Amino acid sequence: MSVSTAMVSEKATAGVATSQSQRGSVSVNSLTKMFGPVKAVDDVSLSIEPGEFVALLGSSGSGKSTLLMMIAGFEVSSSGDIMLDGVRINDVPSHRRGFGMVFQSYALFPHMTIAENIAYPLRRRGLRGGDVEREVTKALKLVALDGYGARLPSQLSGGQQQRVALARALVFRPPLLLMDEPLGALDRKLRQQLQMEIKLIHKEVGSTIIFVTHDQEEALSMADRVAVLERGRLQQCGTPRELYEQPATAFVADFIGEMNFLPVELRRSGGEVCARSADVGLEVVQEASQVLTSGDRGLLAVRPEYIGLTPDERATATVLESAYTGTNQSVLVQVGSIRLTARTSVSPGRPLFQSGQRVRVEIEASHTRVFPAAR
Amino acid sequence: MVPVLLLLPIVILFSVGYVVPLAQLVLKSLQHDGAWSLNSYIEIANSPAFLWIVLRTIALAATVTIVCLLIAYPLAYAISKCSPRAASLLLLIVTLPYLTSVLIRTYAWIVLLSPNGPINQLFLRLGLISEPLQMVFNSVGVYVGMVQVQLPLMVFPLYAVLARVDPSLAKAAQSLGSPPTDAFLRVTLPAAIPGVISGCTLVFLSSLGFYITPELLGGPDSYLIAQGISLRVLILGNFDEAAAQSTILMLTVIAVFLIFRQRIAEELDDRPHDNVSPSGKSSSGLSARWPILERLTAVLHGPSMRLHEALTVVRRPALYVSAGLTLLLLVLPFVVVIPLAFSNAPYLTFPPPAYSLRWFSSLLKNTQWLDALSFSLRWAGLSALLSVAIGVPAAFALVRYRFSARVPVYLLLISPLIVPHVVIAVSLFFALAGSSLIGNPLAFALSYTIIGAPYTVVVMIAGLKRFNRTLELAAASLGSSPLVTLRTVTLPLLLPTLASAALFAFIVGFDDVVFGLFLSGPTATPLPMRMWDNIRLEISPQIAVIAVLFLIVLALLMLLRLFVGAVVQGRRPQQSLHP
Repeated sequence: MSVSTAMVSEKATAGVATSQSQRGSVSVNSLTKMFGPVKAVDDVSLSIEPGEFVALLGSSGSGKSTLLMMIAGFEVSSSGDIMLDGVRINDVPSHRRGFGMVFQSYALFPHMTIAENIAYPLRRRGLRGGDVEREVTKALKLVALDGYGARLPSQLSGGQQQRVALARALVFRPPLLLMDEPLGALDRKLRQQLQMEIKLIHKEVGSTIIFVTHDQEEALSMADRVAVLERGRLQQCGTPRELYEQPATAFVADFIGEMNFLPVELRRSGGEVCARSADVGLEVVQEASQVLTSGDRGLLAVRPEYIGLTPDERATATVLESAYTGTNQSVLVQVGSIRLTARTSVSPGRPLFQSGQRVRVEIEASHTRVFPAAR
Repeated sequence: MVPVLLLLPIVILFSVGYVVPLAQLVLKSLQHDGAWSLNSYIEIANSPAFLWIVLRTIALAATVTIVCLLIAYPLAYAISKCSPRAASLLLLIVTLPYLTSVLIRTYAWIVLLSPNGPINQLFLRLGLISEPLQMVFNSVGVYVGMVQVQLPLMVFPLYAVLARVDPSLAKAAQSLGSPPTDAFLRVTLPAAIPGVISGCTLVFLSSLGFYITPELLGGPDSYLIAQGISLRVLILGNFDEAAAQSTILMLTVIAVFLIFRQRIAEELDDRPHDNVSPSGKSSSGLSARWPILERLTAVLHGPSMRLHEALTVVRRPALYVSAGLTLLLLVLPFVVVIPLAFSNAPYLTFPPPAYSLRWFSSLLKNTQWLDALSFSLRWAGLSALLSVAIGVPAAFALVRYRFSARVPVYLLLISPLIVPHVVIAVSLFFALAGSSLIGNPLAFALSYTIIGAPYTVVVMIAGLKRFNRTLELAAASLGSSPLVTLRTVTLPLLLPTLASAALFAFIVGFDDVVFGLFLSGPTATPLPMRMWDNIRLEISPQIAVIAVLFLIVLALLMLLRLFVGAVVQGRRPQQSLHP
């Protein structure tokens, strides 16, 4: 079933939308939002292609929700531009932007049935009678809730309510769908199920999606690209793989996945930088262009899976604690004055690491990155 | 700009009908024979009788406040521990007297406390007394009646804070070694302090200017200040002194009100209320500052813990007995009034010797009563609509917009809840004196709106603060303009709140006696004035009939309100019942 063949009044996005088939490119240029003296969003620039699924990822207070609210038109930016398909929309009131929006609290109208809820945006666009009915039926089918139209929101489970909210936000075929922690109120299993459904629906309807979440796993598994925010600043925007393998800042390196940080001394010579850790007795040489700090102290970041451990009675490193998770074993190792977490794959027949065991620590230099010391 | 427009109607009406008359009243008190003079105040200050009246009034207000606090706390606490369904039923029982005319309740107390009334009969039969106690037309009657009348004002704020106290706090204290009563003293009680303060403020202020109950239940030698004022205006014609006394009463009330305004203005705050004691000064902090206290606590620790353990055993029964007695006090008037309405006796006697509908038919035959009833219905109804029309936009402005005059405007709009009605009525009487508006229904419409609109403002503010604004954002994201959102989402969901607001405003006007005393005329006599005259002059079962009709109408209105709530809240009545 394809929704894009249905007719919706062009009033839908009057004034902001172009009639091109590839609508929904969004760009944000140097956007800033001040709350008093506090910069909730600080000079963020981001450009999103039509049909792209972008996650805004950050902890609470990172500015991700404020950024979304500015795009939705519920917060007024302090400076900077918000562009939709090349048109500046900062001054367009939210109800004329024509974006779909899904809220964490579902925000279904409790005094209307499911069908009335979904019909709401259609009626605001002047649709009447049979057209409305047809669209509502299609939208319910899209979210696999056929036959629920006559019920009230209070008669549905949380997951069902959120699917209704999704149908309501998509029924008028917005060029852009905004989702504010849409799965935050659901339990883990339901969340994973809905993550899949949302990806499928995204493929089907082709709208651009901006999805706010604080759950990195959710962001990495769902989005084409992830924008990581911290304290109002955009840290990095890239594909999940880029974020994991080439984190641009120490924050991203720490926030995405697990990461060990070792204090290192830096020595520059020619086009190369040598990072030396006294604790581990390790020297890593990297191209200067890859090293993101100019001082003589830095942090060497290495993921647990690139730390190799070998049992060795003469070594100085000691296993403190370990956790067995089936295919892997996470091992906490004391090396000199620092502690590192290593993840080793478990192979049948080989013994697991035990607390107190002496081990030799090897770090794969090609999988490390150097960041400024002061994080 | 928008808040100004929203507030304009109510501010204009309040200026004309409330602020200006009160200002004129104050000016009048500062004049004598047309010249500026403190003469009236000097007269008052030199009158020992007036000082006694003031002392008596303050003593009464303070005693009533303390008694209300002591008996309302266990009840509010018990309600807060009930299941939501039981709690909403109990709150309804507390609300019912609050919504029922003070006149009707006072009338019931006259019956209950009279020398041959049921209470004296019960005591005589139990052999507790050998001859009837004189409990009415003296200060005993005033105290009992006042406590019953003011009790709901104490229960509501206490319940509001206690219901918010996280029960796991007390459990946490217990798990850390406090016996339940100790946990109660250290955790639950401090958390209730805001409710205690607002309840005490409300009851004390309201008692200071109370008129009806003292006038009907009290004796001729125990006058209170509000009675003194009306006596001077209506009988003695001593307007200057009345103005001075009114000014003193009003300024006292406003002063107390302003001292506690922080608490009251908090109702406007968006921040979630703290569950924890806002004082921040814990008992351990105190003992840290005074080492002697620390030592004392240590010495007393053992015995105090044993005392707490002992109290723990009687705690629950004591709580339930006390809460039950308080509930009984609240419903007792209705227990008397309902059978009385069906009495066949030609005079007041309880229990009725036999039952008939004679007093119902006598009401229907009496055009004076019917005219008064239709007058009250019409003008209280009109005022309720007007109160909603001006109060609802004001509530929107106060909740949804930030502007510098926000708190002062809010305090002004709710101040008629606090300023004694006697003072407002006297000021209107002076302002309208000589004009054709005395004895004119329009004067009633104006005064009913001034005392009714604050209720609509307060009820709507509470409703708007509870309202989930994400729904409005959702509507906007779906393409709905602000006005369409108001029509399709906000107002339909606030319908139950609007109904409550209108109901409150209506009842406040419909119950009024005080404005009737000053503004009535031959062609404008509201029902409560007829009842007032009847109680004072002949006291017949007629009033009980009106009380029963009133209760029936009230019950119907509440059912309607429940129905509206049920429809709006997704047809789940149990949710709309619970506030």
